[in-house]
Amino acid sequence: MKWTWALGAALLAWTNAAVAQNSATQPGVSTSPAASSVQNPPSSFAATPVQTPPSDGVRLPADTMVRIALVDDVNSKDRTRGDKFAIRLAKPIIVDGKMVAPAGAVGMGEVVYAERGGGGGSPGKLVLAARYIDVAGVRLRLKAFQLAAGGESDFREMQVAAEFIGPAVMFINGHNVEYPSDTRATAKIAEDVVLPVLSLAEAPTSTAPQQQSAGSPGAAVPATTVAPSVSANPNAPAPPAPTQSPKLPQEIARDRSLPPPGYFDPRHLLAVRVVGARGLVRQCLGKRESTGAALVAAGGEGPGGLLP
Amino acid sequence: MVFYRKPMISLIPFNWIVREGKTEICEMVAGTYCVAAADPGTHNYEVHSEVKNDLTLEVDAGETYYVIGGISMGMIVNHPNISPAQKIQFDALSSRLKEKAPIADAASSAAAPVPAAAPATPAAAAAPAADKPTP
Repeated sequence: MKWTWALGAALLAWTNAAVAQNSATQPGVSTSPAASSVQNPPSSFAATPVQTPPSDGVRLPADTMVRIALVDDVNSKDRTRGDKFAIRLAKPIIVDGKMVAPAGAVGMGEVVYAERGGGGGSPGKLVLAARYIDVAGVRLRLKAFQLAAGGESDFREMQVAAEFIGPAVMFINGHNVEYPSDTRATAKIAEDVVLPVLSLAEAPTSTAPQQQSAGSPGAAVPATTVAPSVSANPNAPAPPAPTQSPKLPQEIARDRSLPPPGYFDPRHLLAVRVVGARGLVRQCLGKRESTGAALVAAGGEGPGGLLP
Repeated sequence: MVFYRKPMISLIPFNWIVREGKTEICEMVAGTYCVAAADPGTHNYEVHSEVKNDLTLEVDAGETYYVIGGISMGMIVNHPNISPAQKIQFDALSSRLKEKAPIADAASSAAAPVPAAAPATPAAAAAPAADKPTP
């Protein structure tokens, strides 16, 4: 019995000594710059350890506008409120000729509200929010993500269709909102942050477009243009040619050969989907199919749209 | 927050009120827009008819958000619905829209102890005052 107590006391003493030793060797959070989190799979959304911002970094003020692109496809049909999706920085953040965040830095967004298109032409809705971007171990919290839309309202088309198919018009669902991968939108930095300088951008800062919000202070505004690298050493290897960015949805829409307004497609007579009646009505009215989101992402320009 | 509806010609006007909980925000009339202030945070706006249609938005300080009202077919009556919109969509229609005062401001101006001869001033939202859309 006595040796049991002695063994327990010895074990307790050894545990306390180990804890004291660990606390002595690790006084605080490591300040060593962590590896870039770009390689971390965004779909896992693992908690990135918060790093102490470097003391010699560049200050990025709040309300700085950044360009964000979706990595995943997001639509109002399959997504629900609270779903997470991956986002990335579409353009690097450059402050005073210094790149502090590279293009492609990944982060996370969240679906704030999603509703699929309902019967009677009720349009779908999708509201997205960009939460953060991880850059060199520092988490950039984002806000004011301008990517929210509702599907086009087909009320007039429903009224016309009701004349032909009557109550069956209730089975025609409204448009859903679809944001394919690489859809781009703007967001703002939620709070002041200090980022390490990754590289010197050689783009002429005088000609870089300044994207400044109405409410942002007059501090340094990052130019979101991509800077082609120009080396001072003539013997240095030639810089790689700028890669062509993937086509935006509006460019994809314009490339497609769209039929002229009022063109009657006989395939609609063979369509078995109820939604084909809606397309027939829209064709007769001289309108083209569109997801609504494509127009929004495209800035609402032109009559183009994505044909089903 | 900017609530607006496209101009529409109809024999029977179909208007509805946007609420947040029990607070009435704006009356959405075809061809009008209404500017209402909203505190930063999450807001859930609702419209009621046979069924309820709602919309949740996260509002940030200093930002302007646009909500468009639409109509969908119903079994007995038409259903109003509200959807998020972009500034470019509103700007395309702004020349054809008339401003309408929000319900809260109209009620406060009516309850204020002012002479009857003084006209009620349509209030502009304090938060998004800098971003107030101009038709």
